[in-house]
Amino acid sequence: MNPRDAGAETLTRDQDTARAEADAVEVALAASGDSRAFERIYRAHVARIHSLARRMLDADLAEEVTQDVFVRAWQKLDTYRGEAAFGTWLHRLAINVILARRASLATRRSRFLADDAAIARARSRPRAPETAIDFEGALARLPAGARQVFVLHDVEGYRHEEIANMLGLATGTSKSQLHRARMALRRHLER
Amino acid sequence: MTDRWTPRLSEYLDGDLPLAERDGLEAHLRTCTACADVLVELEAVVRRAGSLPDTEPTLDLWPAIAHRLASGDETPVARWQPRARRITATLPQLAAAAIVVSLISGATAWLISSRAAPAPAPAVVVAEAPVRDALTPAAEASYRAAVEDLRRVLDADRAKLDTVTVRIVEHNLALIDRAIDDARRALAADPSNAYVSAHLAQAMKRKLDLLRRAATLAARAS
Amino acid sequence: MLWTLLASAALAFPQQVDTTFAVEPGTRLQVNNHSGRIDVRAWGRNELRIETGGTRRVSITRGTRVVRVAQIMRHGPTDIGLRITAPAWMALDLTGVETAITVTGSQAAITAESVDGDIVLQGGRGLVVLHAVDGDVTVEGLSGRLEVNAIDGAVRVSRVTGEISIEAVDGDITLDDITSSVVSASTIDGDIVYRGTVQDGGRYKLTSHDGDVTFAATGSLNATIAVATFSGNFESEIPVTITRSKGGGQHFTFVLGSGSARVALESFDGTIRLRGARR
Repeated sequence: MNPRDAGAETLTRDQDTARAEADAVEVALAASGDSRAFERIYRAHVARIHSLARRMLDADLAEEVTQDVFVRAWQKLDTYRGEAAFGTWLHRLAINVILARRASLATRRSRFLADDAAIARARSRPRAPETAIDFEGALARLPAGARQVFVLHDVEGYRHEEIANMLGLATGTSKSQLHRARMALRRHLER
Repeated sequence: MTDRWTPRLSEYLDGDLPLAERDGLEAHLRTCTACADVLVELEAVVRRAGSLPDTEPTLDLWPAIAHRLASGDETPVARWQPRARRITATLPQLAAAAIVVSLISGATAWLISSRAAPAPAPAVVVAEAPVRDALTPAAEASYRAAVEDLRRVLDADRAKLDTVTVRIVEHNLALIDRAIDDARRALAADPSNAYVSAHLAQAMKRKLDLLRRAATLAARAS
Repeated sequence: MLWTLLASAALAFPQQVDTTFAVEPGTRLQVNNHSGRIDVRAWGRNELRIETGGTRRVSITRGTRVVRVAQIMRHGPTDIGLRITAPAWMALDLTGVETAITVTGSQAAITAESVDGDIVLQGGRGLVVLHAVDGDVTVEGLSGRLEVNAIDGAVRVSRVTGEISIEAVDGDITLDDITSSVVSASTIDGDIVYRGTVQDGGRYKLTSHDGDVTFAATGSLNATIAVATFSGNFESEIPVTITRSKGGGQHFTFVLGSGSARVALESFDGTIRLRGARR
């Protein structure tokens, strides 16, 4: 392993452990109505939630949905019982908010390009460096179904059974969507 | 180029392929360089996906969120009470923090409302209602439990803090304790003094804030 | 979280770091230097320059819209003087433990936190959040919303436009040349001084346990002023008529002008002073 990565990794682990411990205290205060504690929670978690929203939905919706997630979290803090790490709880809540938004967008989405056309567009090999889109850009151009399965499985680490349950799909569909997404994205790995 | 095995490569990569098919695919990979190449690319996609950086929004979203929290029905001050009882069993400090927040609800509401909309100019000056039964024995007990809880969290990690930092924290906790004692004595002498009552609550909350801050710092220290 | 593992480009340096690279508008800078200094200056270019004197124990990670600079602590912390020149628009998140932090000329949102070390900020726009445990906090020329939490140290704020919220425990709070409609400053053991405008409809609250509180409005003063003390005094350069009294007789409210702004001045044990208009 490259030494600089090792250093970075060490820092990351320390921060993660510390984050969980710090969260427990902040959540206790926020649940009691301390909005400043909740702001600190927001600042600690906003990057992860915003990135999830950005990848699952269109980028122009990400900020609005991120707001919705934190408002919802504030309203539901009293249901957090501490069984899972707070970050995990918040993440699941975010997925619920995002999926609810996705459902409300479904009608509009049907007016857009059909999935296969979108796959072809995402798959097309970049012709020259100046026209190349990066990996995140290619991910954003995937059709919604394949993109969501890919984000949940490969980025966020959920299992097919969980994803199928969240999205209301058969497990087999989740697997095939994941494969479609990966096949499209392999052309867009940064060299 | 794809063949009948290509669609199964992701399942293979994820270890989801049944044993018999796995053997078949592995045999195929030994002879089909196209599939072997695709597999390498898919592995790279999975690695890349697992290492995508999280990025913050370009705009700070907190002011908008704070506005929504403050303007909604569920303001923190409005909802602290029912929650406190429910969480007492698992996290005693929640209850006490809630109690202290309630004691200074005037101050909290002041901050929140100030961000929502300016109050209209008062035609008649009406002082805020005094917080009377602020320190019921139950509130006092919950507050003490909260302090003890946060103390425990801090003590568990205090060795990680620099000794100077520990001294600073203890010095400042002592200052707040002195303020709390002053206010308690004043309240004993003048039980109906609304200012002193609110001031005591404020000092108690400051103690919880400082303990929380110190506990967070200690937890964060490597 | 995954982020650090995911550096799309990470650079290592042989003896010291002096590197400059382009950054796209919207990129944030996150710096974590355990001990030493973090000095950030702003410039007009869309480039970030990072310098460290005589050490390579710094990792620089470039993500999509974030650059992270961190002290590498595999062999324990060391003092590192980080000098950073950043675009004025670049939002800054600066943290350290035994670290002095200065920011000069920024026009962006800033968070800075240090356990043992002063924080000095000149400029800033948008939300600025500063946390210090053992150290002074100085803020000058900010336009935005300021939040300061200091434990053992003075807080000095001047030429600031925007909402201000300051909490200290053992330290004075000085607010000078302030233009704001919402100010809250509170300390346990220290004096508080406010000199600034009082805007119609604004809210101002200064509270100390064991220190003097001085409120000096510049310009017109249309305010309902609530004064409270237990064993302290109240002095006013402005003739006031007390319209209502409650509690032990040391908590009273009076109206100046239209009474539009609300001002609360409290000191348990110190002197509360109301100064007349200046300038």
